[in-house]
Amino acid sequence: MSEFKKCRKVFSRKASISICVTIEGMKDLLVYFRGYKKETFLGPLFKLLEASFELLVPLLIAHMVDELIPHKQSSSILGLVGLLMGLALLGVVVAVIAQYFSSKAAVGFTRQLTKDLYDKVLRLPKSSRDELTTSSLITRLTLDTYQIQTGINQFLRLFLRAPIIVFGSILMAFTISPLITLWFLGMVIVLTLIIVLMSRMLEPFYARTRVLTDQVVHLTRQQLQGMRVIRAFLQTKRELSFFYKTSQEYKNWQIQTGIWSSLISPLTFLVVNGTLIMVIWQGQRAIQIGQLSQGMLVALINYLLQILTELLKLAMLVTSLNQSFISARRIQQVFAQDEEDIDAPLEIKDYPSQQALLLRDVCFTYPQAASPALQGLSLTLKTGQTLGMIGGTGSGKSTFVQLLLHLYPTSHGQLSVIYDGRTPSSLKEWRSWVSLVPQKATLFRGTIRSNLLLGRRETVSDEELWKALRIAQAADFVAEKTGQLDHPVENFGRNFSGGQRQRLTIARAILRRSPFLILDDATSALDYLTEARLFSAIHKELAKTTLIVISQRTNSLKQADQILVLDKGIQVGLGSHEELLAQSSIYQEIHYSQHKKED
Amino acid sequence: MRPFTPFILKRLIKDMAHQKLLVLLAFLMTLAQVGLTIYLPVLIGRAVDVVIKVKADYLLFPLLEQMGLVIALNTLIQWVNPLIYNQLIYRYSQDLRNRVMEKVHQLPLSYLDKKGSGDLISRLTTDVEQLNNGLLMIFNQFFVGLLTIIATILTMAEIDWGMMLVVLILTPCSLLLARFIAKKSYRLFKKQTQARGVQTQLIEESLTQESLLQVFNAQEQFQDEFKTTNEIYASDSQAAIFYSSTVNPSTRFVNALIYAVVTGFGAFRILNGATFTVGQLVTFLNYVNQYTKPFNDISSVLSELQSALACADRLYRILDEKAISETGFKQVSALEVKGEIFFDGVQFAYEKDHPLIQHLTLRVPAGSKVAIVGPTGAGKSTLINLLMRFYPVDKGQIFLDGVSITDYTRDSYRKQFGMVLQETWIKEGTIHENIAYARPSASKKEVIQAAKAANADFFIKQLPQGYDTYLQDAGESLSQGQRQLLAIARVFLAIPKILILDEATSSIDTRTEALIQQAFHKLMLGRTSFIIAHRLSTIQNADLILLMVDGDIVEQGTHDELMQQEGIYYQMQQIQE
Repeated sequence: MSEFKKCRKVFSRKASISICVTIEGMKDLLVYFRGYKKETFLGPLFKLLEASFELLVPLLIAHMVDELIPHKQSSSILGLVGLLMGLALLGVVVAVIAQYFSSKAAVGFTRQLTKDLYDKVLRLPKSSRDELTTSSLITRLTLDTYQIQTGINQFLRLFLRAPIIVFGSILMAFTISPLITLWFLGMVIVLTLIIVLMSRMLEPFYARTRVLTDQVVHLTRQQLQGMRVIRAFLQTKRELSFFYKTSQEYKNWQIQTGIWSSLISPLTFLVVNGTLIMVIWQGQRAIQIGQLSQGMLVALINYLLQILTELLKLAMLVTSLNQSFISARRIQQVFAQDEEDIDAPLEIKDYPSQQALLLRDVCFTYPQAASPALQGLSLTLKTGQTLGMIGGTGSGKSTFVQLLLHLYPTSHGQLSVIYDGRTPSSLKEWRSWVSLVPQKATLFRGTIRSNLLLGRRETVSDEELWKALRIAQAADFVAEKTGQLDHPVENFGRNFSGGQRQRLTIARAILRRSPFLILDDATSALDYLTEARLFSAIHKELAKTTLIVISQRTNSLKQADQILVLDKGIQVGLGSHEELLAQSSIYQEIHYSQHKKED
Repeated sequence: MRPFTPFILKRLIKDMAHQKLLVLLAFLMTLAQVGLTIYLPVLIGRAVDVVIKVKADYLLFPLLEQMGLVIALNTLIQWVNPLIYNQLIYRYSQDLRNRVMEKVHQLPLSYLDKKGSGDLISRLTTDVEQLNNGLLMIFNQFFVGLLTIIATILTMAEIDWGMMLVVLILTPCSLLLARFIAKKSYRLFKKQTQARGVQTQLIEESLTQESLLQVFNAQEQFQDEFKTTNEIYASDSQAAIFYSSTVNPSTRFVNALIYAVVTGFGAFRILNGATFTVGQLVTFLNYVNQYTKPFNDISSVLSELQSALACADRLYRILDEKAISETGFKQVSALEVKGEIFFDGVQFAYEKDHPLIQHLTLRVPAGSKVAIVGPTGAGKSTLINLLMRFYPVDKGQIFLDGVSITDYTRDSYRKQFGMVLQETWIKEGTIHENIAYARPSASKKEVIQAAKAANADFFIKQLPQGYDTYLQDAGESLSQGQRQLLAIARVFLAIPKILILDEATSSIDTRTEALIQQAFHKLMLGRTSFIIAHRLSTIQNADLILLMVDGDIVEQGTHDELMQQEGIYYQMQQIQE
């Protein structure tokens, strides 16, 4: 119970930023009932059975009042009690079966939906992921799918039970007295109207409550995290006043929402009991003219009360189901995104065989940004050469790496990776050519082996794995671990030190034997000696590999054939270490901020 | 039940009872609601009897009128009652939330650091919310439910003793059954939670590194892995959900049995010619339905009450913590302060049995630039914590211009400092508001000037709305380096007498760092500054370099002096070259 509530709370924060997709789109999600059609159908059907057993009870009581009691048939009364018990037993059996089917359908639906959603998310292009944000995608895959599962389960179990009982009661009442049933019908219509209108009206209230809840959570987190700064800058009073203000606003809104949301159940009470008075009154007249028996009046009253109980449940359910609809919309929104088709053919261009990289006036602007992150990049690189890259914070180095991997397409200009005299035929091939050692060295849960084999479906010999580890200067510490290649790796590789993780990510990239290898500031956690050994091993063992080395330290780039100097997204220098030291003032500044001038 | 419960319950009631009128009103209204709810079936029963037996309009109409009145009144009360509860509870929780937050702002950082922000956040948000929900449920269901049960039993007893006993004895069966199922399904839910944990981890791990997966063409590999964990989670879920969902049908079953028994009993009573009537049987059957509901409600509320009290306990514990108090009342005058700092025999430990700083004596002349270097855990940031009075020293004293810093009020003392930490804190708001944090009244021109000095102007101008760009999620859209630039700009606007930079440029590239250092140099001319740095190249021109190891200053002097000593500093310098 509390688990579920917690989920809802976390979830609601995210829901507030959801962009509305029409309910139309949600129909697409119905396909996930595939394979569970039987359960989806049988669940409510068994509910129907249970409900019909319950519907028989008032008729039996009526029979007792009209026939058995006046004629003092005590043995038949005993039989009737036995029948009531039998119905109860049948009811429980049928209900449990119904619960089984509906849980199966709900879980099955969610299982298939979650799987497809996960697959879809892995196919999203970087731009979509940036827009939706990773944390929101995680929420959608976890809390939103959970919410939907709960919703379907509730729906199959309860949402259908209520209408069945309501309409069943009306039907039964109709067989007793069509005239009085008209009152029933009127009541149901009025109640439905109340529930529908009220939940419509309340929706914006709840939405705003979620926003305010967010604000409180957000403000609390912010102030707690900034406690040192707040105190250092003497802003305690001001921050507290912000908090009081939000807290007050939140309370006022809660109370205001309550005024309307508390209306539903008294209104229902009023309508149902008002109808009851009418039924008794009308019933009396019917009895007087002999149209209705006494027992039947009792039965009518019972049916009425049954309708009340179910409708109240229904009202509560509507609110809860609303949450599931919001979740479904959020998931639908992910499905509506365009995918990145890694198998789609790309235009193949031919080049001289020793050519490796060609940039012609490359420009790139992030989808939401005002000014370009990269502009005017031009260079060529030959197979087996090394390109160094250096630049300050925000100079565009990471952006450039993303373009090289085609995580983003270039805005204009030409960027071609070339192997064997041609450009790649698909995105998949492009990425199989370019291997990356990322800035942030993180691993995946599994073993050292499973991490090295990331993206490899074919079997790779241990010998080959060890070779990659040796080049990456990781063989020593892996050999010391228990189980060696099969040593377990925890989430994100937390059980390894930063330096070890970095070397494993290097080995992982080397193992692919791709024609291009990008080292994105990938030696930051290594000491100078290890770094030197690494580079000499790479140069020796991977002589034909074209290297792209990004670094903050000019020392690491001295060996490069060409160094690209970036400043604020603009190419401000291109040449060897010596050339740049002589010509590029920015390169000089970077170099001398790390090395005292020798003079 | 945990031992705190009675005490915390008393306290909670006491705090709520502050709103005396509301409490009284709530009590009376609840009584009225229950009374009317119970009375209605009695009227219905009578009406039925009149209809069946007497068949007389003149008897029926007054009854119907009474019913109408009861219904109308009850409708009104059912609406107003929750509103009163809401007032009571929401006011209470707002007050509690505010009090706890205020307290948190007054608690020593040692407490906050130990608790961790995650824990405190969850107390202030989740716990308050859960307490809210718990209280609402208690008011809306527990009290009404409890009173309804009592009143129903009394009314039933008045109509027919024996029948009442039958109902009373049979009802606990449904409770026991529900308990039994709940216990069993708890184990299954635990298994489900574990499976969900595994799945969530995989989702988090693969989504946060999704670019990498795509670059390695490893999508299919992970899709397969996900399929496996997803299957396991689904089957565990289904077991848990199904098992727990048998509670309702089971209790319904027990209730149906009670219904049958009551019917039988009632029928025989009527047959035996007792005073029992058909109308009374209708009343009774109504009660059976009405009365089992609060019973079920109460059992679910009881567990809710437990967790609500646990939440209240966690919140009250914060309120009971000792706040930091002012130790001195002197005011530091910004005009007169020189900035000479003297550590006199300072001793400090985060944990009693692990002394960190044993005996630190150090004189920092006014206006000097002090650099602190050393390995992680050497106590560099601790020194800052002591200097900023975030933590009190255990022994010894720190003096500012010859006066013990504890003689000053905290605010006037801290006002002299400007501080930039490695973990930058960005407030939700515009860039302008963030830079002008210490002085919200600063003009646009001043803010831009500060940003320019911090070399942040360049990237700010690139943003869609420049200085008016709204930063959400603690500035997650900015890089760590950009956040540091903003934090530095914040200090440039305040222009303090004493500056503290704790790895403040760790994520900024060396060239920008050098530019900022120059700006700082200009800013801090004639002012005291403390700089903690891991890149030695940036602190070579410091007046005093302190090398700390294990809480002690093992080497001190200028760069040249330390290089000549050829000690640890020299070695570190060699490695970094």
